[in-house]
Amino acid sequence: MSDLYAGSILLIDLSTKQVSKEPTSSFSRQFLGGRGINGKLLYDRVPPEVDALDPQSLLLFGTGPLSGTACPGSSRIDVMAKSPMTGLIGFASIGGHAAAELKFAGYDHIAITGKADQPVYISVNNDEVQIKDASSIWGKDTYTAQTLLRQELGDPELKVLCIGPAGENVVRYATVQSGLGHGAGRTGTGAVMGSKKLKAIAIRGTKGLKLANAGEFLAKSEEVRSKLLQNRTALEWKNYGTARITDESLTHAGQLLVANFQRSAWDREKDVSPYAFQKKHLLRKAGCFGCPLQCMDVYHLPGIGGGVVSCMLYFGMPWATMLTDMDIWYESAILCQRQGIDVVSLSDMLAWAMELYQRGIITTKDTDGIPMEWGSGKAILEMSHKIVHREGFGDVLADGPVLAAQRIGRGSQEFAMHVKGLPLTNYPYNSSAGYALSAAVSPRGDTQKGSPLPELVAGWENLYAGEAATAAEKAQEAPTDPYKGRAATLIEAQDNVALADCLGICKWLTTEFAEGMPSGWWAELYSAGTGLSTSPEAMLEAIKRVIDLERAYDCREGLTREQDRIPKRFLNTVVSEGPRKGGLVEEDKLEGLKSEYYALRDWDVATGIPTRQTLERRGLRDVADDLERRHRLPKAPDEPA
Amino acid sequence: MEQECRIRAMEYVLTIDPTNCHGCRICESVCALFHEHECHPEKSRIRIIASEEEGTLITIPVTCMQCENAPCQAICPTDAIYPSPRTGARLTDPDKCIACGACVYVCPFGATYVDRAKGIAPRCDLCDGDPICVRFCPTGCLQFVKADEVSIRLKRAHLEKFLEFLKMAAVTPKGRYSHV
Repeated sequence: MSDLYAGSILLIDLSTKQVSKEPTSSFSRQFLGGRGINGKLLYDRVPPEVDALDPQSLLLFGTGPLSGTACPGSSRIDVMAKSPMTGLIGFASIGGHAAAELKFAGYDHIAITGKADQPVYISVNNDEVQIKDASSIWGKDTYTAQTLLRQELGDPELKVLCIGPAGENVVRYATVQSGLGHGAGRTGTGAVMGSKKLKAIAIRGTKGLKLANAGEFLAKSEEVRSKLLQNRTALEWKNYGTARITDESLTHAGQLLVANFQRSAWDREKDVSPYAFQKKHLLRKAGCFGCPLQCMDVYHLPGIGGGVVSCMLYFGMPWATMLTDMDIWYESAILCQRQGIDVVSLSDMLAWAMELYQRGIITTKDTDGIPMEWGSGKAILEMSHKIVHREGFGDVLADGPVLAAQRIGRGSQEFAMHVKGLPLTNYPYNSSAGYALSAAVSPRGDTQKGSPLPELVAGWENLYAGEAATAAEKAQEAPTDPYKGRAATLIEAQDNVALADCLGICKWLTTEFAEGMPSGWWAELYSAGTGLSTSPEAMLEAIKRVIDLERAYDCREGLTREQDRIPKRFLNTVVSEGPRKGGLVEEDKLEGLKSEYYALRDWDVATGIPTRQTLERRGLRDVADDLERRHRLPKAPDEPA
Repeated sequence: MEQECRIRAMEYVLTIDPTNCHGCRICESVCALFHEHECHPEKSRIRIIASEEEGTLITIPVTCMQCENAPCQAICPTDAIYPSPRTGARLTDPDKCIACGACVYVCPFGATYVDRAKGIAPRCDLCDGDPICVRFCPTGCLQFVKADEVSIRLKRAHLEKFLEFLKMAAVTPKGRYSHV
């Protein structure tokens, strides 16, 4: 059975230089693909004894069954490793053209272990897999390295996954980048790649994918496509990318917090409008393989150069650091891509340093003479370069908030805005119970990858109605009980995102664009492609298995309910300014939501750990045994304590 | 009767506006899926050529340009290439084609290829008059339009700035070029 799937998992040990294969079918029935199979491999092969940056640590690239097909949005690779930021499961999705190319080469997944003596890259050309000397591209930024690789291998059609200097220097929030503007941003998978001295994976595949029922698959893909192009949110993405919606749903609705999450309002929002920047500078749109929307924006600014920008890059830096110079913002966005560093983590680390500077906890003596003043473009660009190259104070900030706070001391940890070690994406955790819960219980220490929470959607509704001015009012309209139903909503959103991550498609298709798209379609596409009968229920069961396994992974590392918490700054304080004035998240109510969430997931409410009963029901008896052996399994109710 | 039909269909040509290609490669996917029943861009009759150098993204579709004096047809040593009576598109007779690749060499656009497994050089057949690449192209970069409209549309597109200028001049009563 290899229809729809490429068929193989490619295993590469950089220490022994051994290359081998495993059939994908050993895992695909239980874990679907992408993030699901990655999670299984990580659970089985990276136990608590292995540190994220140890040679034995595993770096996983996983496409899904729909990656590389004619189904819209079929461009995703889930990049997974134990996170050097959190010590827990770490994963991020990357788009572009690498997923399709990898599958056309015959591989669903690549699993890399070991560590090379000298910098290397991996060349995958269909069946020919080679580990090659990377000395000519080591130290080069991601844009340049990809061009040089194509020249060196004499193949301009190569698709490349690579790290920049940040990954090489094992900056703990380094990214894996591909093409222009595509990056696996969060959790520091680029640092794991750098710790293995692996600069890049250059892929060329010419095999294509066989389908069980090509006609049905094409017809279904066309159905998804036409529904997508009727969806107003999808059309917003197609016409304006993620620029206009950032203004309308985040900025105007007061969803972005300012200055390291200290404030809830900013009078400079017009100066940092992504839509204004887009209107002024947009050259054209771009995007990923197989997507009719093309939500990314292509720019070229004199003196800074070309680049492709979307989403988080638009609102990360300006709001966190109060940067108002949009030329410098653009320069920092391109810096993130070229150097291969996570814009969210970088913005938060700089903003944290600025707050420490503001409070006098650090001075220019600590920061190598750079005044870390709010909005200072010089501070942002210079300190970013120091972080990338681990120079001076940059070396401290390169280790992420937990280790950096240990090195700085002086109570600095109180101002580090992270969950489980991963800096937070900018959302209103102080006034939305949904966001607060999402951040608290996420397996990777961040919100659940843009789940469609009511606040966000309220902003969009106004956008469609052309009533941007009232977005703020609408968002403020508090439901009778702001905590009600939030746990169930989050679970649905998490499951939908995981479904996309396992199928290898863009998560927007199963979340924000899913309106009017029956969840059964994904099962139908899967069946048409593989020839295996499945149902939406069976697919959801697989997704719940994946999520329980991820939770079990974290719990095996020692995570309990105790660590599912957000910074104190967001709790028990009424928002005093901005469109979300009056908002509040109470700690005890959030604890109540957590209990509700664990109960709905069938996890032990006291500890937040999946029970044996739940794991066995999901077909994860081996995981239950493993947790028990390590004394991590919660006590059964009838068992004496 | 057949002759009439041919003339009607041949009035249409597939046009490419490279400035409007976003590089999604949907055309490749659906072409291969429709013709070869696989998700297999290498077997697509249309390909997207991309360049990402120095942070600048450029993507250009390449497919059969339906030459009037088609070199592929002229060079074919076995006369395997012939115009479709319905659409005018050059087709390959699988019984005659020896997969020698001569047509691949002479194509000025590199728009064709040899399928070694099948032993044939396939070519764009315009999907018998309803090209699937055009149907799925999300930006309108690919279009299937009447041949006689093409050249006048190109002229208009190229002269748009000039038209705009004259339009302003036409409604400015005195000192016609004062606003320049």
